[in-house]
Amino acid sequence: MIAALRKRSWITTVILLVAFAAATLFAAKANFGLQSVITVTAIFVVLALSLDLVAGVVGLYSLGHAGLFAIGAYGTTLLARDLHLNVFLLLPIVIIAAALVGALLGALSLRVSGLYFAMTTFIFTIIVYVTLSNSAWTMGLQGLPGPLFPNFPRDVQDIFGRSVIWAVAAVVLITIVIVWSIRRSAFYPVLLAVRDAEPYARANGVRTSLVKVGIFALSAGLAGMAGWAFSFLVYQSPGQFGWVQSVNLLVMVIIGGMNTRLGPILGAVLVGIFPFVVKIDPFLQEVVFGAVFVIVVVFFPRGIIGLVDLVVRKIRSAMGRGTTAVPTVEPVAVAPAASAATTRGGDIALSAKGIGFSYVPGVPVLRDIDMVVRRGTIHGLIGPNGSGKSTLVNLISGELRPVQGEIELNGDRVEQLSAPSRPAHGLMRTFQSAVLVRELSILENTTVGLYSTVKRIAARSVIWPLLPSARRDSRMLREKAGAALESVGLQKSWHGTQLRDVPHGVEQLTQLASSIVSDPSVLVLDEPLAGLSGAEVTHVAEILHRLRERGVTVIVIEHQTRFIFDNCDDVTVLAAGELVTSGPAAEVRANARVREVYLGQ
Amino acid sequence: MKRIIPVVTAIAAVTALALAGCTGGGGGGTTDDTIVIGGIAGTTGAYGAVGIAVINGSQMAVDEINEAGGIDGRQIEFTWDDDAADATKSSQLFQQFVSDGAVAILGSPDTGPTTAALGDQMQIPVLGAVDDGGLTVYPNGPDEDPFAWTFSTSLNTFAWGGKLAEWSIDNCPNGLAMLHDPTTYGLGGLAGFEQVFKETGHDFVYVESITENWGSGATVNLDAEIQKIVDSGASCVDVWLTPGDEATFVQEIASLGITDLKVLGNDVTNADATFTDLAGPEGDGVISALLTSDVHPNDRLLEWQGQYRDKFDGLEPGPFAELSYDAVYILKQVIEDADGATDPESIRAGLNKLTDFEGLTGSLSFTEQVHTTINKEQLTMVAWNLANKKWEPIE
Amino acid sequence: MLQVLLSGLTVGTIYGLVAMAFAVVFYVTKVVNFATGQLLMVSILLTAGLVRLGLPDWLGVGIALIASTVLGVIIYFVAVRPVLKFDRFSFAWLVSTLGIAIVIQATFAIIFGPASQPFPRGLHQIPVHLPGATLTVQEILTLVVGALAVLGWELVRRKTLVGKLGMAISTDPEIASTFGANVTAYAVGAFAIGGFLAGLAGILVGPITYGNPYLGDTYGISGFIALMIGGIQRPAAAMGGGLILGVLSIAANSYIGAQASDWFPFVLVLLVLLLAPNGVFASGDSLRKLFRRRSSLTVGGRA
Repeated sequence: MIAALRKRSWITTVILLVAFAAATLFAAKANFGLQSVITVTAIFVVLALSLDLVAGVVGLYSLGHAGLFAIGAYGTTLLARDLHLNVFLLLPIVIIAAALVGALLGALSLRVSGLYFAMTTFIFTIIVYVTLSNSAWTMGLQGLPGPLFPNFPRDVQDIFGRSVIWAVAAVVLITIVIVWSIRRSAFYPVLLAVRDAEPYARANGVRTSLVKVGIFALSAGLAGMAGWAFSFLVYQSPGQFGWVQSVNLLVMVIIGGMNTRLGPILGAVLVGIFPFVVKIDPFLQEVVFGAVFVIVVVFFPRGIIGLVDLVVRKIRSAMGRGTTAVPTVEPVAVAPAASAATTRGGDIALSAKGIGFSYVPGVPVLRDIDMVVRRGTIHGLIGPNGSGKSTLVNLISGELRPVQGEIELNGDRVEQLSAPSRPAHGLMRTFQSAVLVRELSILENTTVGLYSTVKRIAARSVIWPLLPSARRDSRMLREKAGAALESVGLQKSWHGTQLRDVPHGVEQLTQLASSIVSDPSVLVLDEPLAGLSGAEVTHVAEILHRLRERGVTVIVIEHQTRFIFDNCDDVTVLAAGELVTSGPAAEVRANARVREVYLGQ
Repeated sequence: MKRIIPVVTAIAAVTALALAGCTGGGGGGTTDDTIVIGGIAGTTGAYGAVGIAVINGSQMAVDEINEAGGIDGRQIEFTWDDDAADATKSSQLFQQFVSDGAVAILGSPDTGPTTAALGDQMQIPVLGAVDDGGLTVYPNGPDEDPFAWTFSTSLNTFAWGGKLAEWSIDNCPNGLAMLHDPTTYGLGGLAGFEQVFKETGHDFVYVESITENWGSGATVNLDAEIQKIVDSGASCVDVWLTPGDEATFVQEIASLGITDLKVLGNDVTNADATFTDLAGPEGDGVISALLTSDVHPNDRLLEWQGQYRDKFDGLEPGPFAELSYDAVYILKQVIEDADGATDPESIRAGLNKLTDFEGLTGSLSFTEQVHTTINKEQLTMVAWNLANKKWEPIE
Repeated sequence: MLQVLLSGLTVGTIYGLVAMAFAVVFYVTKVVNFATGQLLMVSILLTAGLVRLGLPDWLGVGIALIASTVLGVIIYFVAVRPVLKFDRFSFAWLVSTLGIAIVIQATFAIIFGPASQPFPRGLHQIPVHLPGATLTVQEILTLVVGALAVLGWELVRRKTLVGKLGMAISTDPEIASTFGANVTAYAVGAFAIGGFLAGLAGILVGPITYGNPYLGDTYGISGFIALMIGGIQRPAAAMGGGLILGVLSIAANSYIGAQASDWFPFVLVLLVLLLAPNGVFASGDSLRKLFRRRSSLTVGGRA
């Protein structure tokens, strides 16, 4: 079955490639006029795809793409003119130059917010434009023609037509392969998690800032490559690289459909050929052009692809398909595999000594907290609201760093390490309210939990479907994630459901599955029962006991004291930022101060 | 998601086919019966009027020639489009017209550097209103070679700069200040001034370039510039900016109560009514140069202007219409002289030999070195007379 | 020196008013209305056109201001409301407001022609000589109107119930609507004020420029840059950004060179963005909060 599927996908790929080559041949032998429309549109396609990679996939609305495009185009033209470098040598040079500029821009601007990133990149484009228009080196506003692309030898040209068309086609193909590969890779769910669920991604070991900068650099490199090809096609002047162009690209992506495989391509084609297809009075043409923007976005906010999707769904439901029975959560049936985690640190899984923390100097949130978590126990952490238990969990999981004290995790000092480094030390955590990726299936969400176990996932993602090792990894990820989901009681029928369509309990269980899928030795659960029904609470308790049987150390923060005292071996109690007591559950329960401060007796 | 791929692929394919049908299916190109000429001009935007004049002037010549039997019996097919003053669009149109079989491209008054450079690259003659001549045709300055395939019948910034420079030497005792825009338009004017100043040992009292917005015609704030010009002590100032900004300039100096500064213009100042309309009363007395043929129109030009108004619903003719009309007739003569040969090389050779062609804009010639028809000897100094609503010759 | 300062403040007030028009809309709806510059153009061109038809200046100005205000509201209903209704956090408004900007611009180019039209010079013809500087009455009026706009806005925002509810909506429309605030009415109000401020800027800048359908982009972008210098969260701060941009452009022009005003403001903005990411006048970090909330709401909305 799988073999047949793969065979079919290979056939599809081959057919698409042949069609692409045929289209290129057609274009390469077409007349100049048709060629110029096709090639410029193709450049827009590359730019729109590269922009969607940052805007759609990781949620960064770059308005710097025109500037990065200019680096590619002007870089090629000026270096070819002044240094007489070979145009093929210039390709890697301008790609790397644009990527480096993108990385720098991203590193400088990504520390605050998405809108800030949009503004900084917007100003970047303006500065590039102003520099191009005021410099004698770039011929100012007058502009300059690009280098000539070397022709095929005469007899080759007779068969294959104009060489530059093949160069443009190669640029388009490379971009499509890279962007579509990433979309099919195991890295894609991780990228969406970076966009929508940053704390979740960090807790799973993803260095989100690095990922954002890296993706923006890649996207910038693709824009630089588009510029390289563009330089052979048309005369260049600063006006083609202004902020309006940046906005145009974003328009193409949104009109076509953000974060879709074909949306950016359709958007670019629509905008690129519009003036050549709609041949009316130029002023009226502008009116129609603007009106199309409004109409598409108002009626189909998810773009042309959204519209197509809608139509397809309508047809399918008219054909009587698409209604599936609501699956139920099964009791835990599958015995989890034995924990693979080989751990150091002996009987002590985690210890915190003398922890002090404050957001504002002089106003301590936590004072002098000591806590020891024994290996293979369920350790409860309780305290009234504002007692500092969430802060303590954030210190343990690396979201915050303590002002004083030390934290030892499996024998290693970790208090100065960031959150994404925790999974490598065997710690995973969940969040109070599940923050996962709504447009992914629960299986895909769970695979994010395995991020730190897959080697060089980011680097391999750009050619993912072509790598046998990557296909193996994809299969392994799905199998492990599936097993983890089943181990928390979510049967196969659930796995393909999009997260946005599942009830809250299932979402919480998905989060739990993704936190245990990589076999951590220490698991931190932040209020795992919030919003669960009575039956679901029993279900979670059962899962925790099974995890303990496997030797996993579990730290649970919970309001429901009954749950804590019924299920935990040890309990730590905080109040007003101070430690009340910490020890075996029975002792803590008997502690007079606990009864007084927390249990209200 | 997977299911929609075939659907979308189909849509994409249909779009591509439609595109191929739309652009690929054009006419038969230049044949034994027809000669295709391409026209590129910015007919939208704040200065779209210039592009419209270029297209109208060319169209008028084409219609006349076709009615009179064409060029050696071959009809002219004039195909044009708006370049929206955008280099990408201009490049695309250029390539499209060449593949439609155009023997020459007329224009563009808005993307001249693009059409001139592409003419050289694709070896196709570029003729007519190629920006404002000057640096667009001679990219490396007036003393260097012009673009080999570009032949401008357009207003020539070198000519206007030179003519105004000569006048300023005699009439501005404390020298001349200049404010120009940084495109080939302003830099061409500057080069025209510099050439005359260098020959006669003069120099500017003050010169500054200032970026403008041709797309919107929006005004920059000129107060700081005006202050610097007044401080320089110059008795005249040449304002080589958009007509809108030149109008703002004369109004601002009036607002500031400055009366002892003579304002000079450029080739566009009186190419249409934009400047005089906008400047209002403060435009009175502004000095510029005008084609002698426009100052003292002969009967043929007067008659032509009447026909132009009739044909285009009373639209006022101007030099850009006249010189574009001339360009088409020049092309006709060159093709006829070459016994109907329309290959690019023959046309270029013919244009290089054009001598004393009697056009609306004067007696026009090209040589290997001279690729602009209008030089400063064809110009007359004029001043705007508000009372008569006329540009009147001055000494 | 004084001349540079005063000229800069005058131009800056225009930029500031456009920036305020952006900011008022953003304040309530979290939408950047890319047609703001076109609203300025509408008021200039309508005034120029109506006066040309023989209407008195004041009537032309009045009609133009009403038109830009109404058009602002129309933009909300046509291009913004449907998009926000679908998804309050989508960025699709970028495309729809830009689209409507193109439609307005091209429509006015068809009606009025692409060429520039003279604008009544009015008060700009009367110079006022100060020691060390010359201003016109129009420029003084500009400064006064700018100051009134900021004062009026701040008074309404802080002292009236309407303003306080507006602040609540600005912080969280969903919570605000639960205690009875009519979010739609506030959005309409914001677009109306935005249209009015942009129209006002047009009337004030008209006498030193001309009526032209393509003016919108030029002043729209200047206003947008002013917005970023000042900070997008608070309309009063946006005016401050305009003043800074105006004074520094004129100063760059006077002391560095004419073309310095091309790059100087942008380098300045880049510095501002790198050093004070929320704008020079912004104190709080509501923007950061907005974007944090965005991610938590779009993703874990049911918590």
